[in-house]
Amino acid sequence: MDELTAALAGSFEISNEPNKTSAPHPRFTQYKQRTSNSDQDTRRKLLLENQKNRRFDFLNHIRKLTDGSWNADPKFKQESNIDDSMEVEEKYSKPGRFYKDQLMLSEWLVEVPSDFATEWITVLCPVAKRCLIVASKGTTRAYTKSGYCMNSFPSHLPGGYRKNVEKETTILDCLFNEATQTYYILDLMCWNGHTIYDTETEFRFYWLHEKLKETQSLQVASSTNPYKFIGLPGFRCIQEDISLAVTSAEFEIDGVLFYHKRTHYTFGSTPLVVWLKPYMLQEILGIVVPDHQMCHMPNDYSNYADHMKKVVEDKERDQKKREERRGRRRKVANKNNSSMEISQSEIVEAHENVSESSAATKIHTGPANNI
Amino acid sequence: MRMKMATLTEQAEKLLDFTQKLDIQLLDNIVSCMYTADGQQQRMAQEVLTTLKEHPDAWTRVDTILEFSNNQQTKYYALQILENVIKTRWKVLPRAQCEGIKKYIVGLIIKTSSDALLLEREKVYVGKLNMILVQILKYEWPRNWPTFISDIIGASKTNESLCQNNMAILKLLSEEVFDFSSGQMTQAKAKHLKDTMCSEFSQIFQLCQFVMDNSQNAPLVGATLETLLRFLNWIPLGYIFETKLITTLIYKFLNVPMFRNITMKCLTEIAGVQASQSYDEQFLQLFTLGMNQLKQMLPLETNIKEAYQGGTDDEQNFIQNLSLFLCTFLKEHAQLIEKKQELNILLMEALHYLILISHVEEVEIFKICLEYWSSLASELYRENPFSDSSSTPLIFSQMRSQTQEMPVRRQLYNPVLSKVRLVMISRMAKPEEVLVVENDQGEVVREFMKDTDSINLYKNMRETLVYLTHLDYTDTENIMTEKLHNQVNGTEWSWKNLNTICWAIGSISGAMHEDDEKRFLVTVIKDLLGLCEQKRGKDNKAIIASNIMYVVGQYPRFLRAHWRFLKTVVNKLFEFMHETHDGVQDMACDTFIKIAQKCRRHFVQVQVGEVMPFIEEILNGINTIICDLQPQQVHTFYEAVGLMIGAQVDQVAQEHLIERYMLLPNQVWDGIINQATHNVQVLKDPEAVKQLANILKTNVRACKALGHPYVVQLGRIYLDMLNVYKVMSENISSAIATNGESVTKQPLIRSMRTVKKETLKLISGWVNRSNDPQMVADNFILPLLEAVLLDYQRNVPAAREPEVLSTMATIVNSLKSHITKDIPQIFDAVFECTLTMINKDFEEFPEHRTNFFLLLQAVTQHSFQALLNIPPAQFKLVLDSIIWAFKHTMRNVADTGLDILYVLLQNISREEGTAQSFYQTYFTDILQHLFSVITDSSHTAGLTMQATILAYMFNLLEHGKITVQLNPNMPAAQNIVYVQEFLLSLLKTAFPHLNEQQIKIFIEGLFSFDQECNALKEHLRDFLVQIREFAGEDMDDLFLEERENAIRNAQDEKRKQQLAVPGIVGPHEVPEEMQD
Repeated sequence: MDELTAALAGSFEISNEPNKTSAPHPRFTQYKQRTSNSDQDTRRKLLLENQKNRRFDFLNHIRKLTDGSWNADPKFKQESNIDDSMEVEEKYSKPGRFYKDQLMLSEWLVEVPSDFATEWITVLCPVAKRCLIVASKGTTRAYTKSGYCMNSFPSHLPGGYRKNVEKETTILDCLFNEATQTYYILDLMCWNGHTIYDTETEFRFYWLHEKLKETQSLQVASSTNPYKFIGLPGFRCIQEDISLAVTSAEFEIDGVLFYHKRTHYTFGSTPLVVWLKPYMLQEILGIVVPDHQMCHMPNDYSNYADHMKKVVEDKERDQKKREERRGRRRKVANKNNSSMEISQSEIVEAHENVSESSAATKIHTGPANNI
Repeated sequence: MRMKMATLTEQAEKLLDFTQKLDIQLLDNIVSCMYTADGQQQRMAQEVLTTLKEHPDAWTRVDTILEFSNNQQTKYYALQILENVIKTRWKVLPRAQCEGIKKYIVGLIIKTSSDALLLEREKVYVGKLNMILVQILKYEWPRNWPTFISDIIGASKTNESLCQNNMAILKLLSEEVFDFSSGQMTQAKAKHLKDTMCSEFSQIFQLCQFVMDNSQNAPLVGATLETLLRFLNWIPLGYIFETKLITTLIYKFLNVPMFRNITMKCLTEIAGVQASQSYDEQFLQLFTLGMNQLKQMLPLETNIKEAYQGGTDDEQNFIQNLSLFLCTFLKEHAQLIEKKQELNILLMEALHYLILISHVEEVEIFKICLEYWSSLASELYRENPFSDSSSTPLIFSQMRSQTQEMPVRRQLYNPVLSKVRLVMISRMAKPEEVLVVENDQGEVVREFMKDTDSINLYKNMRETLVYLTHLDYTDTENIMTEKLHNQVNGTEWSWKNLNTICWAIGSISGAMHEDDEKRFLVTVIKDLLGLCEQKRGKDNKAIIASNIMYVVGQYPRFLRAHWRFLKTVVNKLFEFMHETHDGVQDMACDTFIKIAQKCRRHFVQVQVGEVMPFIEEILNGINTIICDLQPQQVHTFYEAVGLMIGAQVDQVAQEHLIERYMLLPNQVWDGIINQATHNVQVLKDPEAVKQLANILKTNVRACKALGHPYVVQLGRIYLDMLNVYKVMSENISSAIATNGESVTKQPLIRSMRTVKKETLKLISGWVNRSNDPQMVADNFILPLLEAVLLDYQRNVPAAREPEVLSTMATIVNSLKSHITKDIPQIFDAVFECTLTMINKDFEEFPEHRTNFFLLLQAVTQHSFQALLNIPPAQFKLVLDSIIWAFKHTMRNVADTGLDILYVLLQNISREEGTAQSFYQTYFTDILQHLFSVITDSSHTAGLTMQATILAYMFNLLEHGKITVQLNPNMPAAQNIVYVQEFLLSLLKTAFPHLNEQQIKIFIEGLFSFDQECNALKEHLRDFLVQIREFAGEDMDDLFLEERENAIRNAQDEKRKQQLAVPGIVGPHEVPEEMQD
């Protein structure tokens, strides 16, 4: 039964995305993910390498987003066949059809990258719904991750409302907070018809904040701009900066995104953007988080060491049970076999074996040194 | 064109002038105009033809038309005229004319059918002639034409093609008399014709036998077999079993390709006969001969599935007929075969055929087989309802096998049953169907279908498989496991096959012992997980995932017993709620609510190894879980979580959970309300309105799940919600006032109405589930009525929400007497203004209509006192509305109307004082209106209820419950006489073509049958038949005398029953001999 539960929790998935944030953080889950992927760092390097050679007709893509027409696009016919390959080289997620899968999604931050302090940008995310904003032809539309149009309304974004003379297009990656009626802007892909999908994060963020400064009225709710649009600031990935940002945040933090400075805006999940929940910050980055930002911590979450202890206890208990069962069957278990299973050195699985707790500690302290 | 039209009108007048000779050419022209022209011209032609057809003398032209017209369509038209006159006016035509028509038709039939070529060419025309002859026969035979049967038999012997057509006539006659007589003839007449036909059947049978034995004429033999088939369900059994009919059919015709289908049908008809044991031999013979013949025609090793796919229509029909024969025979007579050891092989072969046929990919044929398998499996199970348990420890099962052998029948069928299991498992139907539709508010919603063909098929298959599993579940398990392996190893892999096997696995939930079920499920899920990992591509993975979740959701017992697994499943579902692949989010939400329904308690308890109940964890992360869902999916999610919270029995803990559960929607709600208190214009903002509607929908689902305890949340938003309702109403009204009614179609106005509708839905949903009527009445009703009623009354009709009426109805139904004091207020506001909306016709405002009468029904049923207290004028209005209701042709409204009337009559009879004045004012009035619907054929659907009410009213009369004078000029004791006279004059005026005797007998019958609703219903039905025919002077075939006898018998019977109960019959009515 436990084996079955583990199989269900671990390997059962529809989209094969490593470290996806909809599943529990690989370090904190009790169940081993069976799909072993090359580690995040290696994949990052490959992706950045490939980014240079990548060609994609973004202008044409934006036309599709604004006109809502994807006909006569043969590329999508084989869509389902290509997204599953394990190789990073091929694993360029294609943009989705009909507003679905248009957003750049993160993976869990599993290992703190060595260039964290220099090459990454931190963004704090409020509790909200992720959505794609397309402003064109006088209306602004918000689409969910799966392409459902949840709202259409006027806005002061270029192209976003009727009296806005510019007949141009703006595309944003946002977080919508229903209670405060606010769209928090994470990323900018296209502003007033100018496409910047294929530029680096640093530039996109800079451009975003420049443009927002020019359009102050976006931040105020009015009859022609019923929802506030507020840009989320980026911080350096340095312990003090993050710490300060977290303590002074004016909203309830859902989680923290870390963008790699060199990545373009890509579709689907990528290791070049990674994510942590506030209650994991202390554990992984050594950042103390104020209590009021910790309220969504799972009941059984204490910290990594405790968590690991619990996992080990569970394992032992299971082991004992299994042995008892075997004993009943009068088949003496070959203990060597069972211990062989767990001698992998992969960090993700470290907690599965007591003897490797030292390796885990090393990783545990590692990030703090880096910062 | 215009010229032409003018001449057309002119010419039409010539046609209708019966003093002139008929211009056939002209008629032909108009008929062809009707069939070939279009537009105005065709309409004109149709008008002319209809007028001509309805002219009382039109039939006099028929012979001329038939003789001289060259146009087939014109002839057909003439025959329609004739048929019409025969059906309605035959009895009032002069006898000589009747004879004339009869002779003419007979002559025409003989002439046309004597020539085989002509008969073939004019098939349709002759068919119509035959039909007309049969219509004539229904009046003429046997009394005016006693020799009909011998005439037709005699004529048949002269000419083979004539004989062939005569067979067709006999077939038609048999159908008219035995199959379709109900509602077309009075019962007495039908019985008379049946008796006559039976008594003269020997002649017919001889003719059939003669043809079958001697004729070489294939069409004739075919027609004879067709005719015989119609006879088989009513002829005396001797003709079937004491003649050589069975052997003739099997030996002579079954193996002739041309006749095998019709022969098979005849044999099926015979196989279905339920006879006493005296014919056992014959049934055995039918089976052995039939099977042996079949084995030669269709070798047992034939692959019927493939043969069917490549077969002709005729061959496909044969397979279907074969399945019908075998299923019918085995269902009725298998026990007979089972007893004969030597026939067991043949029985197995018959079952083998059925197995082969069960694999045919034609759902109609499969349903035939399924019905048999289902009855076999349930029979074998019920005979000995013990499962053959594999989990019983070895010792026990050995003990059992010594003491308790497997029942003999089960032993016999065991090998077949395993094959049936395979059939069920590899063909399992789809268990649920979801339809995506757009609702009135223009929103796309998913609807779960309850009653479709496929779902019924699933239910039947599931039941069969469950019985089969009880009979041997190791076998079921083995087959399923193997089928699943074939998915994993790829030999049978396909989405359809995977779905099928998983539906099958899901269908037997609960049929196994818990331990076996667990073991089985663990392997199944493991295999499926392995499959999911093995297959590439999101499409494949998504299908497998939804199948895994389907199977898991089908086994709540398993989930409840394994908390860690259940928790993992639910977490996995949460993960899938972020998955963008098509349908995955829907699947996750649907499975989540399914699991919540069955395992709700487990989520609010602290489970072993946990710190707190899982619901806490869900509420902690609810933001993250639902952030990628669409509004509709969010609503489903909320309902599911509501179900869990509903399982918390501790009230304080539950209230705390509800507060956290509604935190998110309440935040948004408060935000909008706060803004609105500063500036009410916010409530005109499309976004705000849409959000309010959305939050209300979430609340509706929460309320649905929580039931009464939802009150804490309702109390929180109640007054604000009603204020929003008022503002929305005002906005809509003023929009209509400035822009006219068409403005209601605008998106903003539509979403404002959605807010109103959802508010009402929420309130009525909660009231309906509440369990403290006094509390509801004290705290919630007053503000509701204030907000809703006045607004409804003052609004223009188009802006009145029909849900106001249904909400009021729900409130009355739930709060019953607690609401009585408020009824006058409700009625004042909604009654008259709604009535004026719906009393112009029977169609406009259908929802208001339905709901209005539902409200009236609720009040009549539960707050009757309120009705008694309203002023007489208003009471009359109520009664008029009820009468108006049952005059509707909208079935649901008419039914409600009758229902209200019945309840009203019953309730008022308990109010001694009021009752009498009620009867005095309304009794005959109600009767009159009732009869107006009873005699209207468009209301026949409500006949049962109409009869029930009539019976009740006549009972009141008969038992002297009406003590006031119904007629001011007659004493109360004469009430019965008065009502009878009243009805007589009423019906005489309404149906002048009926004669007085007929009506009198009808009225008498009403009183005699008032104890027995079914008989009264038949009586009314007979009367309906009579209304359609002009009776004329000749009443013999109305069988009035027979009817009188039946009525008298019923009366005697009733009296006897009454006498049997001491005191029922008053001392003065008791017959003399019983007095001492």
